[in-house]
Amino acid sequence: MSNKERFLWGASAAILVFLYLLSSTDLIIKEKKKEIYPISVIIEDTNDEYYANFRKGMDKAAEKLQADVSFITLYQENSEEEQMELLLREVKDGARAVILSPVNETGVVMRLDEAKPNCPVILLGSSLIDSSVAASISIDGYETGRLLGEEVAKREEAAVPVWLLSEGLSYTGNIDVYDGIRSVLDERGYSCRLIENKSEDTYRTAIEEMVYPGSKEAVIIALDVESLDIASSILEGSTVYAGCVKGLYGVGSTTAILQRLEKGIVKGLMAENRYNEGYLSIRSAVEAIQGGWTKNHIPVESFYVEGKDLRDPTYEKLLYPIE
Amino acid sequence: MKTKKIKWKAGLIVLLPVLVLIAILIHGAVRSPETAKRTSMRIGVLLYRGDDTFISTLRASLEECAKEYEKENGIKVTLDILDAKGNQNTQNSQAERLISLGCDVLCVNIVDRSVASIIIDKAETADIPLVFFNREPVEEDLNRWEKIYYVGADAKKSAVLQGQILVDAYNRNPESLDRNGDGLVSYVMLEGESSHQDSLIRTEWSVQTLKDGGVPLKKLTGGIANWERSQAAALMDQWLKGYSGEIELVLCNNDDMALGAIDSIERNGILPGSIKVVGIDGTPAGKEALRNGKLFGTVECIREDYAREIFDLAEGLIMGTLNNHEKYYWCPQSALVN
Amino acid sequence: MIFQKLRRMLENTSIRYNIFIYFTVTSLAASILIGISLYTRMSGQMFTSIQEENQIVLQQMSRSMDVYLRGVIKLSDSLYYNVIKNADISRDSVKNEMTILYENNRDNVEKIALFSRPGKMVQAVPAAILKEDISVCDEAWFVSALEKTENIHFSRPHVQYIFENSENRYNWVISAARAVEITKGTFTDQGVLLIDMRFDSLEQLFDGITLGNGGYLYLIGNDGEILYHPDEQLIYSGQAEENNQVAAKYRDGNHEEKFGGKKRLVTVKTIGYTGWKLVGVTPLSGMTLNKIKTLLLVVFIIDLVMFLLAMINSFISSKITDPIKELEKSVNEIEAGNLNTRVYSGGSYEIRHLGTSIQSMADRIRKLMADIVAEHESKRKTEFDVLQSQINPHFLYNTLDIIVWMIENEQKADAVRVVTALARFFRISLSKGKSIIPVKDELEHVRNYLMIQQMRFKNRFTFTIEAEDQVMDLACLKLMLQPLVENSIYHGMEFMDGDGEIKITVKRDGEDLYMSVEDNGLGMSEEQVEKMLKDTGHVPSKRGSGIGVKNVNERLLLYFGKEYGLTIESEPDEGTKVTAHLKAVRYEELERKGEKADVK
Repeated sequence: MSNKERFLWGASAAILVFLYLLSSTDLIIKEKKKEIYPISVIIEDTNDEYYANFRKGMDKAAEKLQADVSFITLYQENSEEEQMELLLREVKDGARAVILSPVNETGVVMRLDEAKPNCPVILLGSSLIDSSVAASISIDGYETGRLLGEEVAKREEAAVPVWLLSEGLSYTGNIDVYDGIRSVLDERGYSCRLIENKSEDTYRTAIEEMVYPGSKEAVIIALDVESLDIASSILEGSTVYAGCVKGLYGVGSTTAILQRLEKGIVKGLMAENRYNEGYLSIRSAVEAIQGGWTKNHIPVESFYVEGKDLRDPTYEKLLYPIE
Repeated sequence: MKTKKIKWKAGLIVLLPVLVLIAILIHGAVRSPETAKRTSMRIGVLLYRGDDTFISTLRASLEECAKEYEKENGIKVTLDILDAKGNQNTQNSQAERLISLGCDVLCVNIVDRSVASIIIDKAETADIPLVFFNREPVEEDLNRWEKIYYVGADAKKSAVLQGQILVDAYNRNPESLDRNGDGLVSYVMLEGESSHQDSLIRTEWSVQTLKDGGVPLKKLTGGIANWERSQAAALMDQWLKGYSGEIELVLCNNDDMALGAIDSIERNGILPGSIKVVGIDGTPAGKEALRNGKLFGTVECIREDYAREIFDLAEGLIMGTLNNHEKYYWCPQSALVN
Repeated sequence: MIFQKLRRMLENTSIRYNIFIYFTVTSLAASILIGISLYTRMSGQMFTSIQEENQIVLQQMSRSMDVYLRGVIKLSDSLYYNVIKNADISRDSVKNEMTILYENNRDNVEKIALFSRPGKMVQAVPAAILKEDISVCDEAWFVSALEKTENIHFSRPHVQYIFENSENRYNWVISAARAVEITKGTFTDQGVLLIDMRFDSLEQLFDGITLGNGGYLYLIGNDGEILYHPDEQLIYSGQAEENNQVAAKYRDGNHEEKFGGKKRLVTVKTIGYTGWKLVGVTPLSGMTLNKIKTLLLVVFIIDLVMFLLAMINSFISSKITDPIKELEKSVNEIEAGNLNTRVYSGGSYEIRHLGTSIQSMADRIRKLMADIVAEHESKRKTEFDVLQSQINPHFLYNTLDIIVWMIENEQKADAVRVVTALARFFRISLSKGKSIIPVKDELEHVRNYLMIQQMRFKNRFTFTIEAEDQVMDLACLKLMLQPLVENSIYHGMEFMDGDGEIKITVKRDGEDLYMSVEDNGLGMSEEQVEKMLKDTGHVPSKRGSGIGVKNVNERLLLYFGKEYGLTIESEPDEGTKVTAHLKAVRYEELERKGEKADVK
């Protein structure tokens, strides 16, 4: 066999082996392995009771988009430092993206700029856009406050003082709602008093003050879901307060709060589609991992809901998400 | 000569891809061994019903334990807590999901104790230890594999303690229980879920303890309220109408149902505390009612200890520090009275 | 043009490549054909099989749903016919029976409740309290139940809010309501039996059912509204879309449609009693064996098949063409003149046959050529013999005349001498037919001749013969010297008057033997010399023996070769010397060879 022939045979055999490797094994063309992205969610609280619906949305997204979601709660409520620590720890442990519900949005952004973690960070409940943030999802706090203010103004007289309860205006999102409500109420001539929840009993003491010593009246508006929860459970505990509190309004909902809404303890609240938020947060996280930091703010709508709306099919899925 | 040469070449060329294939298979089969030092733990927790008061407080305690451990040891603890909402099928798929996501230990609050074998099979195949808690699978299932443990409150003990509260009260002052002085303590029984081992045992033993303690009993009626406050309230409503004035004692398998009974009593305008209501659990709401005098007594299993035991067991199993641990762990309990 | 070029190319290639090319092209065409047809067939099959599978899955789902619905209907019926109808609620409590039925169906049923027409709750299992501000009569299920009393009405999934519930719970249910007749004492009145079915048990039915290729199943009511969809909440939140209203209009069976820019297969099955529809959606995009790897696999298989075929083909053609090649080589060698080569014999039967044939042909040729050579030999020999036989008879006549004269002149002694010499002369001439004789004999022969001629020419000349002893046994041609001497006598001595001298010398010089006849006669010019040797038309001289110088030369050349022969040196009026150049070979050796040649 001449050398040329030998060469041809050898070359054909080599091509054959190559084709085989190409087509039937993973050595050359790697089949896209279904990657599961570990994503960590860090919230600002020590427990996740206010995130129940949010988690449902997240779980659905995790299922659909092949993500493994870990929900991290803090040791200490509202601790900025701890949040950053945990964020960095999660990134070190291999989280491909982190969804953060920041205690203090500006503080977080500064720290992110400093620390430069190598993975996309999605902010929840904040509308901040920054180069170090992959995306942010939240309601429009100002608009929410404004709408609520409008609704309250429709129902309550300006003569009654308005108490605004808040976990702390410095915490993310609260100041916007506050500004929104104030803008409307101040315009309409309502007198507002801000009560920040400094300790466990702040609200309770304030409310009890209404009854005893003096018969004071007030319209209470809770600016965040924790405040609404505490306030409404206080009011639920005893019918005594019902006389003094003209109306309890608030922002945010849990199933318990909705029950109280139905019972009339809460007159009205601003609800958002937390399920959707949860879903969107994971989706943006996966998109960011796969390579696109949209660096924009995804707004979520909020609606004013009253007791009678609970039976309305339109709001059913919003307030009571199906698993 | 020529043909031999060709045959040899043919043989070689056919052999070549086969060799390559073998190389690939060997390459694929070789897996690098797991690194020894652990820096994180993943514990899956499957709850039968997240909105059950007792379970939700237990869960909170468990989360606390995890956080503390993390702080102390610097080892990251991930708790994957899933709620089956009373559906065993859901729980089974949740178990599968957690196993596939790679959790190290599964703590299971089984919905239907007769079908624990499904989850046991899955866990055994994946070599993931199981810690059942609060709802006890049958002994045969627990004995199927050595890496199965159970943490619970001994139902009999709870019931005995509950009964003992009443026996003591009766012995101190029979009239506290037998209000109408007919020499019999008429009671109604609010039972938990029909298939739950605790309901059966608690029901049986609280009554037995009372009998053993010499309290004369008369059962008016009983009903299954499935551990739920609202159902208990509804039943109590019916009974108050049906046995108006007769009911002297309400024996409840748990605090939630006791509170439901109390709700009903209040709603019907009866003075709280006149009808004696006892429960078991020592939930915060229950203790609150105890403080207010609405609840006569309850049995507390210290939740922190309960959760700690579950957590320690899980941690020990993961870290491999467990030495001949008992299969059953019974949480210590104590009776609480006003 | 190209075809012609190709054809010419093909013609010029060896058999091996020809076979190879034809074979390869055929197998390539065949493999590609098979590959493509298999591929398209399989793709088509996949499509139909996915369609069929979908149908099957939908059938099964439909049956499950049937079972599910029938379960509820049966429950409702049992409750009604076996419990409610037989009870007088003023006296009896239906609670226990209801509890039994509830416990049996716990997995699927959230709540069973019986209401009277004014909306009062008669019984509920598990125990429940109606919320204070609820007016049951206004509820949709209540209204439709009483509207059409013969049917069970299934509501869309919703959150049941009419009952007091624990804080953190909400239940999605599907309400199945029917009108019932309640007996109260002596009155009967209409009421409504409500069965709240747990929505998650319906979800369970669908859980984990996927259709091929990432497809899914969903359920719509008879108004097209989604009852169950795996992404229900997402659709509500606007993150996903579904064309359920379109699907509601389809009849049962398979439909291809385009939605969201993608083609998909939609299979619809209507469920009895409720009019609900099961809709199965399978994306069509991935149904073909589109992945690159599969294509590459097909290519690989084609290539492998071709490779194997090429190997086989190569093997076969070698078996055929290599022997032919060898045969061709052998033929080439034969052409080149080497007749002694062994012709290749191997390969298939035909080629072996060709080989042996060519071999025998070559052998025959060789034999024939040898024959020709032999013929040549014998022809030469005959010629030689013929030449040699051209002994001049004239000499005989003349000599006999002399003898007669001598006898008549009573010169008996001379006559005896002449007769004796003549006898010896002829004896040697014949030499038993040999053409080669020893020099000794040839000298004897020429001596006798000279003696006779001397007598004839009355001592007009003298002769000497000089020969070394060693040459005596060498071989020389018969009748070689005598013609030369004859020539000398008749062309040289005739005009000498007693002064004529003829000298014969035989000398050996290594491998060469020189025999010369020298005279001092008239001599010849160069032209004459040339003419002597080249004279073709030989006219026997009257006087000589007739053979002639040319004859001698030819014989010498024939016998010994071109290097040998006669050389003539002549000077007119001086003399002539004719030298015969032979090969010095011992007579015995040539005798042996000659005998062999003679035997032929």
